[in-house]
Amino acid sequence: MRKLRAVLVAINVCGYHSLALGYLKAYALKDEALRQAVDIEIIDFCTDCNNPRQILYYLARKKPDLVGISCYCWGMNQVVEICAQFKSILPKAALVLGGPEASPIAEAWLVRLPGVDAVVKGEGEATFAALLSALAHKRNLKEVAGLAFRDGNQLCITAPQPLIDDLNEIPSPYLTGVLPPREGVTYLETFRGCPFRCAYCYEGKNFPKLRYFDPERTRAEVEWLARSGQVQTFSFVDSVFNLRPSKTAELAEIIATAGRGRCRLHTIEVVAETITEKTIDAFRRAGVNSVEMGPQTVNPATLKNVHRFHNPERFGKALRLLRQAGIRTLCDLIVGLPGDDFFKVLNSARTVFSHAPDRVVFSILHVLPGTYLWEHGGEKYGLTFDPKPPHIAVGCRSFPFEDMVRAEVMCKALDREYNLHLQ
Amino acid sequence: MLHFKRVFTGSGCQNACPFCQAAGREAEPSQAAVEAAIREACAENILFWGGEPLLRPDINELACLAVRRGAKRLKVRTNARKLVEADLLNSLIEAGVWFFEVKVCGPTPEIHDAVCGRRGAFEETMAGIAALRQVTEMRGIKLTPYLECVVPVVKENLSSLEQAVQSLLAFEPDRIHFELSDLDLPLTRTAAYLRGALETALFNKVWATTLGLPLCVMAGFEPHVREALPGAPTGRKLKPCKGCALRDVCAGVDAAVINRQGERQVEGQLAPQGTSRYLESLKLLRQPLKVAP
Repeated sequence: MRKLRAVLVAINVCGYHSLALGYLKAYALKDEALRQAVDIEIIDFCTDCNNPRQILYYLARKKPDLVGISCYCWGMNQVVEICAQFKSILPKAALVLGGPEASPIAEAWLVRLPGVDAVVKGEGEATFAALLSALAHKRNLKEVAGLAFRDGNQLCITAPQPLIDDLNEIPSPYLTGVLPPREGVTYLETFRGCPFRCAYCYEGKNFPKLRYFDPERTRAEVEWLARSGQVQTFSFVDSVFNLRPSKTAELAEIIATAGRGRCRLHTIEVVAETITEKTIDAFRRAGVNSVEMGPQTVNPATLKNVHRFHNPERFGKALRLLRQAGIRTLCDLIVGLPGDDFFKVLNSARTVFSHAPDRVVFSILHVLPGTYLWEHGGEKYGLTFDPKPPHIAVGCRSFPFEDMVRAEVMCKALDREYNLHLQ
Repeated sequence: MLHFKRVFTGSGCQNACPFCQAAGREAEPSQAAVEAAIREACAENILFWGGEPLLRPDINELACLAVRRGAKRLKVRTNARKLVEADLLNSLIEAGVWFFEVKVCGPTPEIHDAVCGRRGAFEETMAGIAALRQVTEMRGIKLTPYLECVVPVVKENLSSLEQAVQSLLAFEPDRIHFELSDLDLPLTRTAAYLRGALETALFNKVWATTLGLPLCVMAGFEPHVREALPGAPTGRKLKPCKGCALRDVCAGVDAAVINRQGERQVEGQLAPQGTSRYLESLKLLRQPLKVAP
């Protein structure tokens, strides 16, 4: 029997590579029957260097039976173009989307893009493996949980796919050889989910609970990186590095002992307010040299609107401790959050500046599918945004469009003024 | 937004602007005196101002000292005429001066030279800015110096402020700042011209601010009013200000302008109670920060 040929496509910001596709392939291929029935190729394209026509040419030459595209807001406009032409080039191939830009609004994409056959809803590994199995054995897609698909003129939504309770069921894409070590762009994941529910963020994917990978697996991955000799720096994709003190200490110990000083951490994302002297000790042990944190805004009403907390005293103390430890600090501010206005953004900026972080990053609010603001921002705050990815906010009741433009231009000047010395 | 500690470098200058803040001060304080001022400032952000700081032969040494004393951002307020000297410009950048606040008095030689009192100044200032904008790296590291153009608002350039913005856009400034520098200019008339200039800058994605006009006169353009931010100079409140909704958050009007023109300038401009949607946010900005740096 001829093997089913699947090509998994990611369209990344220049220089980056998809970890998600590595998980899909590693999980699918752990099944012996699937290994016999399917060949899976992962290909990373770049938003800057590759255009849809190039990508379609590549796919046309591969003649796959299935193409799966990992969809993020930064590459979605290219994905839309690919989908529009896909069936005229590969009429018999199945086209499947997944990822945070597609999954939360699966039905809408199926309606908008007639070339798309199915969209994976939610966590992808189990659903993708089941989809491959169904296609390989010509079973009905209705048997595949977690799928939105086209059945003739009808859209079908299957039952939700249960989350993989034990994340260790997903083989490490690194330790199984699915993904190679890559300098600067190798990402490890120690848990999924996020205990916070920031209204603009989809990093936690709305998973109802936190699930952890076995620490020994993380240790093995770090050891593998250190052994590879090809990676000097690596990153964690975890939404928060210092989620719990015990976990932070455990991870620091793993990095210190398994990394053996051969590879060091890129910037990690932290919650500033929970940083104590003990956290700093753990960061030092882990070789952390830069951290990224909020506060996004410091204005109480806005914080409430976007379900965040900010404690000025604890935030200030964290910045001081980090500075004393020689760890570089990067603070994020979002322009356009509902409840803020032009001067409230300035108030956030002056507050953050007063803590003298090494760098301040200003970004315009993106209203991402699956987030609270996507679902409720319109009705609650009069929030409007560009329906086209990357879904830049247009305005809201407290922050009308014209002031958004003003704030955007002002922040560009502030960004240069504050961060120029880093060049 | 960032506060720069000012270090006076002397009033000597090739230009003769009638509104020069350094007028009457020492032409060239000794190197030791300026060094003492730098040590006293002991700040992350330092501004060298005069006069024309770039006329000092020791300007690089002063910059190096400021960096050694911990300055992260060094700014020089200049007419840019000396920036055409490649050696000087390169050595300034090398020494750590990456912020340039360049005074541009108008969009044409006729206006600029008339305001600053020196024929030929415009061409040199433009050439200096152009030279500054040629800098794209320092020792192999990408670097585009920060350029803020300061336009003194006077009767000679009032009707050409928008044109001034248009002419500056070619240099891709990071910011354009308008300073009321003529005590005789009627505020409301000035504001009308400034609005056009601000709109032009904003449309072209360049941030622009004003200094010297109160919030009521700049209604609709409050975000551009420099005095709305903490640390900006404050003026005097007038009798009509009593009934203004923005009274507590407005810096008022420069006392010198009031002395010259009287209080009629803000009559009829008052923001009625409760009409400014920025009021609460402006109050927030007036509050001292809870956490000390």
